[in-house]
Amino acid sequence: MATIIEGVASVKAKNRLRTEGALKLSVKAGQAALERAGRGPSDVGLLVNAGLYRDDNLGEPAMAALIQEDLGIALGNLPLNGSGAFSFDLANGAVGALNSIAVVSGFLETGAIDVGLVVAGDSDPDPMFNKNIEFTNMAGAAVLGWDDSEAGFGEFIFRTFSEFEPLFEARLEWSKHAVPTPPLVPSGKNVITVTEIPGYVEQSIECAYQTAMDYLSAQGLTAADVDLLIAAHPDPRVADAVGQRMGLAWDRINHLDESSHGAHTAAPLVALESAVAKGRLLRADTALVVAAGSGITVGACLYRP
Amino acid sequence: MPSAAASPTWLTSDASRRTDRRGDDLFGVRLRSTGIALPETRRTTDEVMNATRHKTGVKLAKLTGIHERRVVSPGEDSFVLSVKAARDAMKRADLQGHEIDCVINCSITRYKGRRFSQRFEPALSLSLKQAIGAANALNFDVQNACAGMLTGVFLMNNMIRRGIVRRGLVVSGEHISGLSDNASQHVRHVLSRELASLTIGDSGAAVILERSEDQDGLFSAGITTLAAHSRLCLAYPNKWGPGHRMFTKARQLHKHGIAATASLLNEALDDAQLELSEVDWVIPHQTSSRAIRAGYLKVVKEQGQEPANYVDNLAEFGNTSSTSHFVALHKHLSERRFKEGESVMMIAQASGFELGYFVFRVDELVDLYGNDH
Repeated sequence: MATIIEGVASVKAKNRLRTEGALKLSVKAGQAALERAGRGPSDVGLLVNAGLYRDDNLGEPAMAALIQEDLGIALGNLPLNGSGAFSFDLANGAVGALNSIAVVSGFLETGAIDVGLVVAGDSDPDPMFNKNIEFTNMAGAAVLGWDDSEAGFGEFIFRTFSEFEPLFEARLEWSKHAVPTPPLVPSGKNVITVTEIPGYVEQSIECAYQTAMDYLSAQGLTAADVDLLIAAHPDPRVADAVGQRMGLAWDRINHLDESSHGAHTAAPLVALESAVAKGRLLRADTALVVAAGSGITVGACLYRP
Repeated sequence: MPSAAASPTWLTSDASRRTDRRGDDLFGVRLRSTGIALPETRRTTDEVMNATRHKTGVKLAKLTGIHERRVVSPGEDSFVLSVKAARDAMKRADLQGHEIDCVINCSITRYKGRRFSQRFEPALSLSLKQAIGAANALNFDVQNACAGMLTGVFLMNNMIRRGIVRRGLVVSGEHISGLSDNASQHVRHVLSRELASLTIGDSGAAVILERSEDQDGLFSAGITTLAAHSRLCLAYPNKWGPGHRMFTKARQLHKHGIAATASLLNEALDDAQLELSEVDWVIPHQTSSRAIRAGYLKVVKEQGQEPANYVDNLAEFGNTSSTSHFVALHKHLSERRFKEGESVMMIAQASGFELGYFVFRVDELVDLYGNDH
């Protein structure tokens, strides 16, 4: 008895230059995931958004509330009859979506909700000025439910390697224009700066590998027991490299198509969708999901179809 | 026992459950300690209103009941306040970092290091757990406007009840007075959409929750998002300088807030298996004395009964956003205003529109606090 994926989807922006922001992409991904799950907005009891880079750098309220509204989830007023839903943002870099799955899973387990929705989407709100943003504007979503059979997510673990905290950082701060501006024109701008120090990808691979092996060992398993590795990181090279480091045969690693490369916080959802779409998740007796991102933070869990 | 037997329909909550879907028992939870971080610098409402660029004619102190608030000094930011608050909570409970299994940071602002430098990632909770010696704790950040800390409590409650976490820290540090500084350049009159920003003050707050042997102790939390009103209060980075600006449709927010809170309370009381008259203290979100009083009167009218006390903490600290409930709780604990065994109900009202409650008994908590603040 555990949390299962009822439907998972991802959406990519048509054009990098501001045609679709994180909100619109997240809503589209949410709609597609609900449709695949055969669910409607009224089924959702909890919505968690793990996206970080968003339209106009919205600071308040939680982006999740806007996504909830645009998905049409629980739009009534309290004095009326109806059923409610709760939504909030969870932030933990590119691992946040897996944290969100674990959180939703907790409320499915206690019976507080019957269906949960995890959404993660990013867009560069100001490509002309933001520095070093390399992700693709993309969003992913997963509808989660409870299943009384043996299927579903196993125990989740999360580990951090804070000695590598400086290797990847993103900040929003005021940056003055290089040249003086005339009156009534702002003299600068709040811009996002992403700083990635060489070695981040290599250390991400190593940390993900260590976490995966420790997790398997704690579960009484070895790498040989893994039928399918679904690894996620903003850099698509990481998934294959972790699999190879674990000594897995090439066909036991979930490989992303090039068209799915570039997701940031949506990376775990995009990887899951890829495994589901190819039918690989259903065929695997034991799938290992690993997500890694800044921190360096790594999350891992088993999934049995 | 509650009079209305109808099951809750709006709240997301697992408060009434004793076992999970597998049939395993859920653990009890208790509040171990709270902590606070208040910047030394005080700024009066007169000072705030005298610094506005335009002559507003707004009598903010009279309108809101706020006389002063705390603001950060150079070197203090969201992160520094959260670390101080966390250490304060740990010290009161005589706990070391390695005894904390989970750290959830819940602040709206995520300034760390350079002034008004907002860190998106890595999560602030990662740096925080290092700073307090809880390197092995599970960590993540949540953002849910002024309902952030109650959201954190809601999540931590679930994890402790399921046995995933034995003891967890929910913390928020808010260097949010930048909203006030920026608004003071734009507010022209009492209907300004940035007026609410002038009520804001800085602070940090922390709460430690842990597993309790008493599964039936009073401790529950529930929350809901009325997303039809998600765009009534929006904050964005300032286009003209550092920091952020917040735009609020205050009247609509107030109207929906009061109407919905009165209805929510029925569900919250059902959820917690309480009558309103059994609640000794209500701590609403601290926005303005008038709003709190109006909400209280509507609740009393609809319920036909009233809680013994409600907390209005605005005069001294203003609206400290996500920390406001726990700043108020901490102050009342420090002033020894609670008696052992009294029940406290926090009510979250935040942009989103978020409505939630958290109810618990103060019990031995009162012994951890002296007249030291």
